[in-house]
Amino acid sequence: MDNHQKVSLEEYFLDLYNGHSGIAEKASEDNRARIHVDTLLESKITEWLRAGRDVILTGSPGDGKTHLLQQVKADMEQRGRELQTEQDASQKTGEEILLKWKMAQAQGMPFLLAINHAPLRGLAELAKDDPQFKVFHDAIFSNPSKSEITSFVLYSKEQWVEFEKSQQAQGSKANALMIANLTHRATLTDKKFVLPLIEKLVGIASNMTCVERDLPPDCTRCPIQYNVKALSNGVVQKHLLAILELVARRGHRATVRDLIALIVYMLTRGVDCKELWQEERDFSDNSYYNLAYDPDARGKLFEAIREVFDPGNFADTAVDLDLWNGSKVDATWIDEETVSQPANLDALRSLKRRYFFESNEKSKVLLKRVLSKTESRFNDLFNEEQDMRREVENLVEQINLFYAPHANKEDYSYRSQLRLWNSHRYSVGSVPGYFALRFYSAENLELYQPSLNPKYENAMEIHRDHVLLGTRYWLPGDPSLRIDWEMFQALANAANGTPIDVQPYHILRRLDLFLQQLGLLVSNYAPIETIEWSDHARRNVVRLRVNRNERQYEGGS
Amino acid sequence: MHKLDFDFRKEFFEDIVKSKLGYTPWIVAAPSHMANGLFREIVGGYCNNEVQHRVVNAKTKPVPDVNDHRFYKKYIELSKQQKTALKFMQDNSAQRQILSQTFRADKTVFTGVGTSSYTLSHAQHTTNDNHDRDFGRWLTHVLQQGEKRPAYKLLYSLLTQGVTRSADVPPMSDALSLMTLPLMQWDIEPKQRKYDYDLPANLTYTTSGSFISPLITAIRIAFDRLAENDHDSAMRNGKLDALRRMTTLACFSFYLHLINIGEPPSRKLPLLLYLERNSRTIKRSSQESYRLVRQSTDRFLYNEIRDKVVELDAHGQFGRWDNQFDIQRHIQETINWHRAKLKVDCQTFYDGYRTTTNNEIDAIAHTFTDMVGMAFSETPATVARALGVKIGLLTRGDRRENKAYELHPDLLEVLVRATIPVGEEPWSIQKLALYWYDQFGILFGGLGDENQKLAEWEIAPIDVNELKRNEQSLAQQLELSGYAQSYADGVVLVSVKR
Repeated sequence: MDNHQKVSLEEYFLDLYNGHSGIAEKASEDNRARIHVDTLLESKITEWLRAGRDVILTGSPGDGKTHLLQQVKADMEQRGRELQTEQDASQKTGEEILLKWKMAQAQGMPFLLAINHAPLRGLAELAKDDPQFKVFHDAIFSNPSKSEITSFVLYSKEQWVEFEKSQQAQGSKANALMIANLTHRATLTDKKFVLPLIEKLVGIASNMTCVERDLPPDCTRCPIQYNVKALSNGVVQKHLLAILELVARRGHRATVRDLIALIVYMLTRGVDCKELWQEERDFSDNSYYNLAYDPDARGKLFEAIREVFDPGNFADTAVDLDLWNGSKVDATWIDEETVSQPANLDALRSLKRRYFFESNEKSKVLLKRVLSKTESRFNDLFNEEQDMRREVENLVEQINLFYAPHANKEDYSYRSQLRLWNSHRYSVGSVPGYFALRFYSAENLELYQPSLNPKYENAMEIHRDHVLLGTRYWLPGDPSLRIDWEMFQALANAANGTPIDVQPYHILRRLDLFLQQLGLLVSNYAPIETIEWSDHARRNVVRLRVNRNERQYEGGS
Repeated sequence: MHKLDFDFRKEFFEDIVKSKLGYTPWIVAAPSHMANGLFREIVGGYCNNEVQHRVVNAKTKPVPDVNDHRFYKKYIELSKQQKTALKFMQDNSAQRQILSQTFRADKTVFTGVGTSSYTLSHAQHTTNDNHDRDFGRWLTHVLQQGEKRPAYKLLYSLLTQGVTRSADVPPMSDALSLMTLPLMQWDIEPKQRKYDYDLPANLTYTTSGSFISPLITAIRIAFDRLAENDHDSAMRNGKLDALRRMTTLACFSFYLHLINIGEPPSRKLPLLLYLERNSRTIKRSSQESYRLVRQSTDRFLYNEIRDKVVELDAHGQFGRWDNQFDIQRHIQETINWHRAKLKVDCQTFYDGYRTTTNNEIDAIAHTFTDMVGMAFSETPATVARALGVKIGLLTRGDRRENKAYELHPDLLEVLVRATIPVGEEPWSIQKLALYWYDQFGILFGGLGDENQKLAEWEIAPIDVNELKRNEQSLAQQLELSGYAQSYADGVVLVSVKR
């Protein structure tokens, strides 16, 4: 490899942080191959194409559609299999794409298309009246139970059954089209993808050699090589994955491009050796554990990491004092036997970050020590071995307490019956309380985990940041409440006494909508009606019973 | 007519708004007032249920003692059920609090039943309170027009629910109606309100049954779409939600109609939404768009008052109105001001306007327009402002003239449900933006030519990046409320779950 090529590779690599090099259309085949990670999805797509199916890769910009398309195309061509592809859908008109697709069909060739969500809908709309593309149109626009696009991620068995029925009704044509939605890919948490990607990028960075004449005078130790060593280390990788998982669970999504940018930045700060030392930065500033939290780093993933979990900002009572005193802790320090005592709080923060990454303790143990119980309970929701019935009851109780914080918590009915709380006021503003006339039995509610549609044969791990609290035998359109971190946290806060008036308004709205939807499923009549009133001013819960036939109140003191 | 019989308030404001608008916006009203006025007209009368009022009004005892002469006389005539219910409420203060707090939630309940508007849900809760200033009558007329009138029918059906199941009338399905069931007076016919003026010309419709005014047509369409979207849930357990949405839309319609009274039918005042809190230029331009309200209502009053002065001058009823001598005589002697200070103020204003115009009629028309603001505690612009704040259309807290348009999530929900027809494919945010601008004058981004539209009103241009963020903010609000789904490339699809 001559010097020119080496510089090009370095430039390409460093620019991955800025995202420009990550755009697959602009990368050379060589460079693209250097950062390519083989995935099951890729081999599945190849398999589908070889079986003569058409494949659409859709998602958001940066999800890796074009990269995947190019790899698959190269692979197919290498094996001597012909196919038609369209990777630049945004530059073509819908008519041009459909024509190309038709030609592929006429020639008996499979068609592989990479396209963003928005133009995909436009394309399907355009194909509306063409019988040849009826399956394609229906895949996007048919009702949610049948639509390929909304059924890519499933929640209930019934949803799968419905989807399968609609596929059978369409015959073999339905099976001839696969639409892989890369937005749902677990980019941050799929170890089989993240770890090899780190290895690839570390490999490139490790070959970055310094040109002596360009070295700054202060440079005695290379941070890039230190970062390479650290990110090659299994312990560091494991702890980094734990942070990424936490970020993903909190609802932050990242594209492959975002993830690459993060790793490149953690290795190099996105600049070459000469620039590393500018602006009075020291070695620690250029170390991977501080670069991950560098406020100058741009991008949503960096913001998400900074927002979700910075070990430097969390108190870990088990080790903080030892770190401050320079005492021995259970960590294998990269490149050093021991670390020196921090001189100030900034240095302590930096050391705490480093300790998190280089600690010999399990990530789970470390996180459990510093994060709240609510966080652990939220994570438990994703553990399918949990007692889901108990989790449903917990959530029902929390929703009831959200509206009626002064209800008697010993009353089991608050766990077994979800009151359909409502308030009534014509002006905007806080209400004096909430009343409930009807309830929905917790027995008829289920917790659903998102999972990939079996049609896609486990081709990829999907992003999981929520579960669904829905009615039994749930189908799209049925009442459901998305339990994501924000909702779970709000419910937990309410159970701990946070008043409804200071909860985020959209949380209240989501809950209201869920209860309203459930109202459609319950009777609107009982001969004797019981109205439960959660009085927020007097901080109590009162019941009023009304006999319809006798037109009189019942009970009372 | 004798001297001083010429009442300024009546001649130069009340008669004008009655004949031109069909309602009389000179006192501040709350949405619960509007609900009471509208529902009363929908069901064809009011109840003024004093039995219920004894329980709701925290200052009175439900069961009167003999010294409570006025109510005691009525009390002994009440049915056994009502007496038992009053006794129950007297003995159970915690249960009484439920009624008291829920029905007073809007803080529009006072000592007298006829001056109170409850946070109501049934025909039996309506009162004779006239804070809505006949807007309910006007709007009911809009909703009643034609054969197919889903909003009117839905409201009627919800407000007249019966006690038990029957083939014809659905049973009460909401907690508020049931709470008051034992206190209701089914054997008394609702009373009709009397109106001393006819419906205005703005409600004229064509032979095909559609309104001539594009704005009234837009209001009617919005109600019908909202009713169709809400029908199924309202007939199950969503009655209160449906009533709230209808009321919010009624208030929004009131605001919209009132602020556009000074504009020709083809034009609507822009309502620039300020949704992204750090958008300096949007805030400024939104405030400017709000300030047009005052100009529009003043323009309306000025034109009408001027016409009236010209008419008086032509008829010569009190002599001429086109010269300084006669006008000063009218100010000093002809007009009954009721308060001496107003006479002095009027003379001062008139002297001021005379220095800027040679036309005496223009000067006195401007003067009288200003005097409306002095003679009444509220003007159309301030009535509109107060209601706009209470439905979450205008920002709270800012100074009177510095209000900007926002969109409380409740109002946003209402507008979306009043926009997208049942059974239609999801709308793009651009389609929503176009529709809202055409129908209501609402601007929030998504069109691309917002600055051009604002320039027509001499409103300063907005930073396009801020406008983009404003649009995204609306999309995010819609998504958080379950009314939209965002896709890549900024595509947002808006739909209504039924």
